[in-house]
Amino acid sequence: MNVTARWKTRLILVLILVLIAAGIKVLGKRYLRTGENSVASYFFDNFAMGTVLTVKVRTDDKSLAEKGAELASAELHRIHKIFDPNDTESEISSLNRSRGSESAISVSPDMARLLGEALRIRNISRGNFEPTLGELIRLWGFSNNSHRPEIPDPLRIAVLADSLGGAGGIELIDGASSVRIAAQTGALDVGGIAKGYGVDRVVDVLAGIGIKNALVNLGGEIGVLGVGSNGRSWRIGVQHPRKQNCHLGVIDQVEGMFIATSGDYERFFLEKGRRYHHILDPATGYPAGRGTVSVTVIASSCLVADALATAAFVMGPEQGIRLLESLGVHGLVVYAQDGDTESGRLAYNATRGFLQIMKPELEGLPIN
Amino acid sequence: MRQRRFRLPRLFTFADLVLLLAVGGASFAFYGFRFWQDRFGLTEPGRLVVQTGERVVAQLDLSRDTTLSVEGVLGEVTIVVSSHRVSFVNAACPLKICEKTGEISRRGEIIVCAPNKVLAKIAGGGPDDSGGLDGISR
Repeated sequence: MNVTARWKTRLILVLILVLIAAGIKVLGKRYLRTGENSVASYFFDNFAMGTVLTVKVRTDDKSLAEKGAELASAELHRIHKIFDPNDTESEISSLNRSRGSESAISVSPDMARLLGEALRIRNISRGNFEPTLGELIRLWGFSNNSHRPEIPDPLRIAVLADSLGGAGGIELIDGASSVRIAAQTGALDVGGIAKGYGVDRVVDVLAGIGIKNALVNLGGEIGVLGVGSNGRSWRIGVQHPRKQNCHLGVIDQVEGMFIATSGDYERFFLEKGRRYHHILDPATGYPAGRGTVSVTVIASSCLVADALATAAFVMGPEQGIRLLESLGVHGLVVYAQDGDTESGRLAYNATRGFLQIMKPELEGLPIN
Repeated sequence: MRQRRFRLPRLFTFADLVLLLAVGGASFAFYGFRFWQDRFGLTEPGRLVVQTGERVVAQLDLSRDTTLSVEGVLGEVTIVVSSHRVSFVNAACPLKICEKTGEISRRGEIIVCAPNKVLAKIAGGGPDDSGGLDGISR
């Protein structure tokens, strides 16, 4: 073999090897999660605040992920002890017992923050979100885990809805560090939005120990940090309100945002073909009945998203969306076109911002 | 006329070619298999982890159809595994939210009966999460 042929052969050999190496590298990088994409994900599930907390942490530091999950559970346990209205030792129970007292009682920073937000949203929603429905919630029994709820005595509902003043009787003093509650104020029950607050706190706790990428899901209320699997955005489905195992679409531009959904499809019972659900209309004392089926809100805090989802649900598809639009948050209201939430055709209203993120598919997209 | 035979150059012998193909083929086969495993979640068989509170009370093979009754806080919850899909039936809870959850079949998905503190979670097998979703807002 002459010198030229030998060099040609060597060149071919080198080229083939380079191509093989490049092929392996490209495949490996694309599919085998190398480099940035090789970061592991850890999943933790635990019972908290009467539901399930799922924490997904994307990190190579397993001990950091475990520490995050542990702190998350502890934080929710702490929050639950403050806001559980069924616990006579809780701070909220003490506050409810203080109704009618001349003197203000001092409250924890958690209570101050949650109450401040709750009253703010009550005001901007003109009372459609009302944190003082404790007696009515107890009467309907939706928060009682051991008994099937039933329609209460209509007279009792009317008396409670009429006689108890709303959160207007709550006075926040000294920057909400203490609170005075008038005698005729309804009992505080912030069970729903306390979960949203819990998600906010857990996200803060995870960020505080250096976790950069995580998803916190507390019974369907969701907060995220950073990015998810394979370095892409976290992908959150919105539950279809009438089809099991189906979602309405995917929200994936959620970095630093929180998502909450209020719907009539989990906590409900049917009586003579009519649906009675847990979202009560403060004006009537009955489950909100303006044809709304579910509301999803994306906001910069889960507490706010949660409270606004409830307010928009009560206000209905037109006013609800107007409220969300006016506040600059993204929202979707699914409703029954003819008001018949059992068999009526579904439709939706959404804020402009929401539609830029997700186009709802009312036919439903399979989850599995 | 004398026929010219194709001859491999000395540096690139038949053995070189075989070795080259073997190494290249093996590399691609290995990475291809790894990709297939990763893509279709076949690194381990799917299993269902059942918890009451924080205690794991059972681990079921999803490839075997079975029914399991678990004692929860309020009473019994029946877990059905059928064709790699899992659902809760006849749960002793007032609102039956767990039954309304429907079926789960993918890694990371969970069904929960919160009043009974019973949780079933799919671990191992299957692609990540539900339909590529990291969570469901509900």
